[in-house]
Amino acid sequence: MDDPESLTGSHLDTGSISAYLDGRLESGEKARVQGHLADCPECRREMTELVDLMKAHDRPRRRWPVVATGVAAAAAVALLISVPRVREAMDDPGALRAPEAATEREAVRSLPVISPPPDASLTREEVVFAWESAGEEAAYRLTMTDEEGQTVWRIDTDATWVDPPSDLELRPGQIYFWYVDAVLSDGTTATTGVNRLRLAP
Amino acid sequence: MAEKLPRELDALLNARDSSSRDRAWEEFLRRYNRYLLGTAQFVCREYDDRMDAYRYVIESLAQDDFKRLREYCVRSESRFSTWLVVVARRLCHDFRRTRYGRERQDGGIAAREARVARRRLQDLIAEELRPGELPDRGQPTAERRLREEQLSGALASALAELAPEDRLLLKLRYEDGLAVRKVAEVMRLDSEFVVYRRQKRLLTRLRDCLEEEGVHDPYP
Repeated sequence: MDDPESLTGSHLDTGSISAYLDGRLESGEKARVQGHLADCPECRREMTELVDLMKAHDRPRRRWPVVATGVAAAAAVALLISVPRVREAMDDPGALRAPEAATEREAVRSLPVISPPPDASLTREEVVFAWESAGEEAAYRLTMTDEEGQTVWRIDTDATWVDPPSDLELRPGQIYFWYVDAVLSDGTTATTGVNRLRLAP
Repeated sequence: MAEKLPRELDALLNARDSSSRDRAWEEFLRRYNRYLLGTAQFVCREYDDRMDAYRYVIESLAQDDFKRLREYCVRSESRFSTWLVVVARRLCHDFRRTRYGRERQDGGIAAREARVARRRLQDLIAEELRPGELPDRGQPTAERRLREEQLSGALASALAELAPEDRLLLKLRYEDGLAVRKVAEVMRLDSEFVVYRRQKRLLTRLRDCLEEEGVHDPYP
């Protein structure tokens, strides 16, 4: 398999690209990079894609999901163990959905949950919500409530993952409920159903 | 100025034994997994591909005693998270190439697109020279062909003399067909208005260069 860095002979190296993205190149080096980009369609394509990737990463309400593994031991193997569990959950979305009336299920599409696992007990840092895409141009609203049903957080997004803002107060040991409603481009809707989450004490 | 190593990376690369290395790796992944999984999700639209690509990225980073991660230390002018995303993206594309093969570059289509792009820029320059006049796309004649070659040659010379930043702007705009806002983002400019102003200045300059070359009228 090709080592990605083997491209550096005729293309920009990883260090130059990342320093350029961060705006940390000296003017001479920046000119060299821009000159290469002007002459190299492949590197231009890479840079354009990375700009979008970094925007998605940097946007406050769009965070990359952290897969809650809760597994010790060699972390690479641990993650590989946890990933099939997520995949298993994905293959059987019914296992993740809260019970719904049959008529509701027919009228509203199901939106499979990726993270967190059902009835998970997680630390504050491990809480990230992720769900399957309902399609291009779908819009999502995530709502999180306490046990009394009071909304503690609500966010609208077009990403398929969010994590709670750092200033949102979530009490250890408490149970919360959350759900995502989606509006698709054709006007139909989908939902994850209500899911339960416990903050670890 | 060189970045300091993030704590998790420092602990991982300097772990003294396998047990502390395993713990450090777990900590590292807990901290940076969002970048790796997010990149795999961004690059691979199909769910199965995403998870396989993600696994491939993890395995590749751990290979040979984290050889790839150690490369950050050699030249660390960027934030580690940015560098990691760049590496992860390349690994995802490597994975896709292995699974699906290299994207075939159809020389014919690419050459045609390049010609269309040059024509687009050429027409724009031409409009600058004779505003309001539509090009006469009649039957190609020897004289027309000669004029077009002359214009094309003069334009290529003029473009070659531009500063790298200016050439990049024109390439992004006219060869890649990017919107002005995207051009501003790729070039790390403050706003799309900077792009508009520079573009106007460049086209004026190109027009002047063409006139110096004796190309006053783009259309025979």
